[in-house]
Amino acid sequence: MRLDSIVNLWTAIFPLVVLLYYFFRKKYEVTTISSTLFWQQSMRETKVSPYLKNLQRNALFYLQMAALLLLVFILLGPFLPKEQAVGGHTILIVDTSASMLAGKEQLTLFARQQAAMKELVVGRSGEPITIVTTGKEPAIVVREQTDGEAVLAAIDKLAVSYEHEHMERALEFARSIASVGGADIHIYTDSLDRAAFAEEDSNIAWTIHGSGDALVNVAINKFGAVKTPQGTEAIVKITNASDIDQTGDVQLMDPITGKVLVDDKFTVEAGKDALLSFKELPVSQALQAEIIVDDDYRPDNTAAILLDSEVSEAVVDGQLHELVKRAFEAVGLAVTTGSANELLSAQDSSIVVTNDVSLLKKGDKPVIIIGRNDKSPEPVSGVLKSSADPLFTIADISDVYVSALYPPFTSYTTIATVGDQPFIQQSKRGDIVVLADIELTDWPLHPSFPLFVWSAAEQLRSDTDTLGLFVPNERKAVLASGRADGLEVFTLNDEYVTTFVDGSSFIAPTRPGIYKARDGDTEKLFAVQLEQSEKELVIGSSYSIGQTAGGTGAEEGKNRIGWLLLVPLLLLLLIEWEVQRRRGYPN
Amino acid sequence: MSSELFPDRLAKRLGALSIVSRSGRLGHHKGTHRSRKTGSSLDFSDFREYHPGDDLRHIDWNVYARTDKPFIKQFLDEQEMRIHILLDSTKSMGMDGKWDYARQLAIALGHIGLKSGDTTSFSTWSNEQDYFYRRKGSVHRASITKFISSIDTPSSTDSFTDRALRHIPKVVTVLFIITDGLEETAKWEHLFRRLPGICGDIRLLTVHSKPEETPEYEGDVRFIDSESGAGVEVTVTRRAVQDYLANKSAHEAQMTALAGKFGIHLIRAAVADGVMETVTKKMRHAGWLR
Repeated sequence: MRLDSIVNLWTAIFPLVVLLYYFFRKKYEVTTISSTLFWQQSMRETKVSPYLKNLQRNALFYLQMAALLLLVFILLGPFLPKEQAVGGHTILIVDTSASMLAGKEQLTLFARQQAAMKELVVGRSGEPITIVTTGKEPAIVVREQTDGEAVLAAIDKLAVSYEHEHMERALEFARSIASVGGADIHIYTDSLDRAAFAEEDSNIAWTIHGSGDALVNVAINKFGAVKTPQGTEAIVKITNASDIDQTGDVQLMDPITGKVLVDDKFTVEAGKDALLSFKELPVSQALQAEIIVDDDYRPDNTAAILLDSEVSEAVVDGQLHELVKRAFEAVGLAVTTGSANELLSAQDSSIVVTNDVSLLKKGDKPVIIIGRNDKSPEPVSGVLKSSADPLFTIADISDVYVSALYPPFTSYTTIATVGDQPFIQQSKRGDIVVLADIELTDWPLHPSFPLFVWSAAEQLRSDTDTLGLFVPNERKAVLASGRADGLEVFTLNDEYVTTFVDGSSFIAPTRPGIYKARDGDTEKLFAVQLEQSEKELVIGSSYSIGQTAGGTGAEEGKNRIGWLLLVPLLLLLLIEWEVQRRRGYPN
Repeated sequence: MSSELFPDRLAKRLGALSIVSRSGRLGHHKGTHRSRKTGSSLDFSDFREYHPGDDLRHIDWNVYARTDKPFIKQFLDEQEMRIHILLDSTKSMGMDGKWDYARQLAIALGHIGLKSGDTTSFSTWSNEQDYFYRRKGSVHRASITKFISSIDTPSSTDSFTDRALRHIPKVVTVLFIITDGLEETAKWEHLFRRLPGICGDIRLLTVHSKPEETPEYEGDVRFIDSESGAGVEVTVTRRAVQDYLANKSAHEAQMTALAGKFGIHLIRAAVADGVMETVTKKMRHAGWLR
């Protein structure tokens, strides 16, 4: 129950005055008399029990007090919020995105929402409570837990995952949980548009707990760097999302050595962007930018990038079979078809796939050759055998049928054979040569084909020292050697973060920054960056939608109950009157 | 002290009052009260015929001369009475001047008794000791005044009706009981039932103080019983007072009825009346004194 007009609390003065009046009321005068024989007899009919006696003696006081307090209470405008959970199932959806870390005076929005959740849970002890965290993969923290203590402990353990909330997924997830029996769903986030609830859910009551506060935010919107012959060139775009001009320091540093390269002042006008560029920086593997400014949201004040940016494009020779192109598309690369000249120019920044063996001699980046354009294939028969190369750790090609093979390169290492003929070879530079056209095999029919393509692309990419850029919690397979000790992740300060058994189960850490992945002897850097959407703070209000019990869907209903109390009040006055009439005025 | 409680002027006003008793049980000693039996006093009573064995000295020779028959001349006998005064000394007697009044009554009765030459005894008790006094002869009037005056405050916490019997001597012609009667009638009945076996002429004086008869309390009062210490909280309203008075008069009526049932004379004595009024008017009206 809540109170509407708390201002009327001043009327509590009246019952207090009555209380004081009774405090100063005449007490019982003690008189010793010969015998109480006759008085006792006259009192006997009214003497029941000490409690009732007290009640009887002070009946008028209690009645007056009750009437006045009731009156004050009615003036406060009590109402019952119209929300009740049918079936009692409560689902808490907790936004764990980075923007939940915004907040004034050290108390983040996340901490506030945690407190709000606890309050809710304490109020619903004994009812089943499910907690769902947001993210690309919404997760259930506790499921239909009725033990309040366990739920509170789980809430305490919740932490921000920095990942974008992907609220629509969490909503769908919660809907599927609540599809049977209905539920009261509480969403703890910073902002959620009402449009998310366009479709009407029966039996689900949504309550959205928004941030409510306007916060000052200055963010590094974009941070980029490129190597030039004159040194590294970096650009920092700073966005001011507040109503006042902001000034601060911007620092560029090399996170590996910890050396500060640039320390500069900046000023951003209210609501505007500022673009700062820095030239002729020393060559470094990674760069970190940080702005030191007084705002309410810290995670977006730093950004880190790796200068060896990841290869994410593949250029496929137009003469190759369409399936090859499809396979490269399937492993998540941006694929373009190119002519011989285009292939050559793209060699530095892309994975080149061709049958033109001349490319093996040109450029300085390895390529993938499928088939040969200078020789003709010879029929072949035999069992396909592969060596223990990392290329085949996940792609088992032993049941692939190959009808014909091109002649092999003599200086190259053979890693797969058909019978005793080389099938797949690798150059010293790292080029991967498949000595058959796709049409000559049934390989595309096997699931090992795209896996092999992915492995090959990863291997070409892994010639760089980085694993690339990730967003928090991003699940992306990386090529690992497959050693027993797996893939270990450390921070730049060599603090252990986690270990993955193999590269395919790699999940990026949650906290933004630069990390080291150690795979046996090799060590690669990768960066975790906040998603662009997490660099903006959106103010959201709190509201409720829907009703659990098939109601009209009124928002934040108020069930006024003050008038109900008027009847007992009237009754109290009548009783008071009667007591007064029977007993007469006290002295 | 004694002069204050019972001044000489009061003693003088008692004048020639004497205790009247129709009880047949008089004392064995010679006294001033005429007995219904014939005896050796100077007052003529009756004639009766001579029967052999009678004392020849009592024959009235004048009558014998006139009638030629011997007649015996009879005289009234004069005998003493044994008077006992029992004073209720429970704590309730100490309230509202009842104690002084009750002692004055006891002294007045004692004076009357002693002056008539009767054996007069007085008894009461406190928690610590018993008080007992017995004298004969009017010379002892001062000493009984002193004796009774010296009992300062009533302090007995026991029920009066429980202990009364133990403090009454064996042979008593007239028994005066001075009490405030503030005990349950059942207890009184218990006492009354046994009293006639001890004494044939019992006279009960119930003492009432003014606050008891017309309570003038106001507001909310917590009454503490002077004997038991129990408290009763009363909001004094007209109705409460009415109930109180109704209870009180009912109690008194019951007492009177009980007393009548067991042949006990009862007089209401109010403190406000004063001793002289009570002794010279009420007791005489009731035929207790002459």
